[in-house]
Amino acid sequence: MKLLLKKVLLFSAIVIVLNIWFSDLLFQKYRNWEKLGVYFDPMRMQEFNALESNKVNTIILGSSHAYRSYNPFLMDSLVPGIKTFNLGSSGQTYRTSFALLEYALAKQASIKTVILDVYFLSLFEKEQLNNGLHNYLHLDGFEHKFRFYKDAFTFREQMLVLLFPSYVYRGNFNYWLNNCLGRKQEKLPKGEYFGYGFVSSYDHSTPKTYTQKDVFTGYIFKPELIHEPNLIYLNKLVNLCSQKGIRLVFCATPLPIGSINKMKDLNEIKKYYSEMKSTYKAEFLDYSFSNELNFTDTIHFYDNNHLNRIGADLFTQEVLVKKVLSNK
Amino acid sequence: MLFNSFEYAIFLPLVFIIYWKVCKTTQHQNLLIFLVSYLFYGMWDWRFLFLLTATTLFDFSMALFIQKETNEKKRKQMVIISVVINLISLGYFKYFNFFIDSFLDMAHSMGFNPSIHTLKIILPVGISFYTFHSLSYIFDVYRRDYIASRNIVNFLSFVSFFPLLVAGPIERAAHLLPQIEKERKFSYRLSVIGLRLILWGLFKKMVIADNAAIYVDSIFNDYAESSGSTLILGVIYFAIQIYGDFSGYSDIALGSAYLFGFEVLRNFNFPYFSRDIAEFWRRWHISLSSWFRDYLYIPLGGSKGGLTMAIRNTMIIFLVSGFWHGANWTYIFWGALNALYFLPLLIFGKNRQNLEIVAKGKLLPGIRDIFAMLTTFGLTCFAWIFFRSPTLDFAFNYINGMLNWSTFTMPLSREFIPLMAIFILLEWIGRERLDVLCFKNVWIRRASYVLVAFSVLVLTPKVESVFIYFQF
Repeated sequence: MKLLLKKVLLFSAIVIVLNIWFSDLLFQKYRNWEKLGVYFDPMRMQEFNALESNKVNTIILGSSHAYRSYNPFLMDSLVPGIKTFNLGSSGQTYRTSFALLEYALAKQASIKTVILDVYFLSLFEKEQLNNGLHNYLHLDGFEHKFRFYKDAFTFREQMLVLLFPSYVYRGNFNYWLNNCLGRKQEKLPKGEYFGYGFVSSYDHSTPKTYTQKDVFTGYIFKPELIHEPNLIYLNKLVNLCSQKGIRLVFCATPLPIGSINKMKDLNEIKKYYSEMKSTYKAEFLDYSFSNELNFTDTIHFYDNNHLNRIGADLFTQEVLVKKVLSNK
Repeated sequence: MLFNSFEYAIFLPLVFIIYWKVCKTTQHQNLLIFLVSYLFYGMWDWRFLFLLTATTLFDFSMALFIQKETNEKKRKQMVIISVVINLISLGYFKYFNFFIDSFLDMAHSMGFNPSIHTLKIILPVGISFYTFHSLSYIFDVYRRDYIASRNIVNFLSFVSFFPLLVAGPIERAAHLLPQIEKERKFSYRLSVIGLRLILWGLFKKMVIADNAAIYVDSIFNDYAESSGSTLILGVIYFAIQIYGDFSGYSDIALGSAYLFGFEVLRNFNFPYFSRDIAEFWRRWHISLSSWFRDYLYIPLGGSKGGLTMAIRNTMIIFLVSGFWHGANWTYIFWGALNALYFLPLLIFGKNRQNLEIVAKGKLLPGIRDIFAMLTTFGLTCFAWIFFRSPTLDFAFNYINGMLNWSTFTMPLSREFIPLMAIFILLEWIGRERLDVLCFKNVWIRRASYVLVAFSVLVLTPKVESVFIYFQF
């Protein structure tokens, strides 16, 4: 048995060493992001890392809804004394939001307001690795990076990031292979990076967008399927804000009517949001299902889920500026 | 806990070390198997542990009664009671809504409108497998092939043995229980084979099946918009997916069992290299096919009553086999189609003409073998359409979409072809061995371990899917 264990350990060591070496090749995609010009995460984090200390007093956290709907330039220009940075990232869960807030506070102790986008689908998100990596890879300083690693990833994910980076970055294998074969790497950007973490596009959805089957088709909100750790980290985030005396605002951005109409039942989500409001005793601006702002699907939305630049500007102006920031 | 999960990667070595290093007696080892198997199963849904325990205790007691009873008539009655109870449990959880839905459809078509509600029944994972596992014990005791066990821990370990619990292979009491009862010594040879099987099984599942699944799902979901050639490619991919998925699972199960000193039944033996359907069914899901042969086909009279009886019994086992897979007409149709493929071979007495692996001892097959293999693969793929489709209408529409001028265009989704070709080549090279990675040259063998492990790390798609056979 000793011989078997020795051989298995040796084999595992060889595989681990090789995979760490190979992950470096897979990682070149991240190093080449400028050439590809489609990766918002490094741009966002590099810009944030380069900011002077105590420059920012308002941050936005959340998933793609956050970085596509809240225009920090508009907020800063319309509300005197406000300096905003949008730290939204793709698929951001509350766990990532919490770890990111810790990082942001370490860099910018001046933060006084946090706007958290509470997209209902984030509540069910179990996958933590990729949305954590969107940020982790571009953080500054070993100490901050280690803290994020500890807080944002589960034990399984920590082990994967540490020992099996080839597995973690395996999504880049095709990029590496195509590069080796001399094939052109082209990917159309899903919007433009405007700075301060804000990503948007002037493109708009078409009527056809809403005839296709998607995540909203027949959607039923089932609270029993909510991924428990998401709530635990939402709690931690709320507590952290309260300890630091930070104003926390929950906000839900509008969805296109075409997508809302596909959903089976909205009552459960509305009920859940209202419970959330009372549980956390937080300011909560829910615009997900009301068309108070008179948005038109094919004018204000980029796709079946996100606002485009026109929609984002209108939303920022009407909601964030008038109802949140001017109403301290 | 899935075989391809991080949790299993911790669970298996931990149990392995405790099993060989801490447990000093066979009884301790069996107790450990029982406890960790229940933990393994309970991690899905602990509530179904009660069902598993109830089934196990019931069959344990019934077997003792059958053993004790000398009156043949009473023995038979007890077997019938046991079978009925087991099938009621299986039927309730797996088939209740199917019968209600079918009855309602029939009533609606006759102009009636009865108000019967279907129930929200959760299917306990592995129920078809452990029920058949347990039933084999009852049959073996009844047929006096095996003396009923008086040791409850041994029997609990047999029914719940975690490598086989969720999706087989369906073991026989007469084969596995004696291994559980006798003293086991650590075997280096068996452990190495086990580890190789686990590695190859992970490759089949995570690299082949999960990558194929991406294309299969997209083609089947969008079949109305796809060309005939793409639909044909979609079925071929599904054939590879289901093979990679299920045989990969079986390899990991087999490998895990080997690590604990158990030599369990092999479930797959390179089925896509079969030259006729009879050979295919001797190589595909072997433990289920042989279970039906031994406990259904032979008790029904097998082929002893002449050709008519053989045809009838063959039809029965294929239909039952289809129904065993799930409560859907598509599975029954799939079973019937396979029976129709099989019958000409049976009628002309050709069903046992290909017993050896194709091109044994040769590098390449002959033209005739290639033709026979391609024909068998084509027929199998055609039947897989029904297996994969949610309804019969869907399957017929899919077939309809395959048969038009667009069949002669270049298919989309060709990206998976190179990986599939490498996989088929590796399987071909290893077709005469139990485990594909057992190369004779030690350096090739070692390099293959690293390459395969590496492929699992790098080529696993981002979206992983659960094992297909978990739903059965």
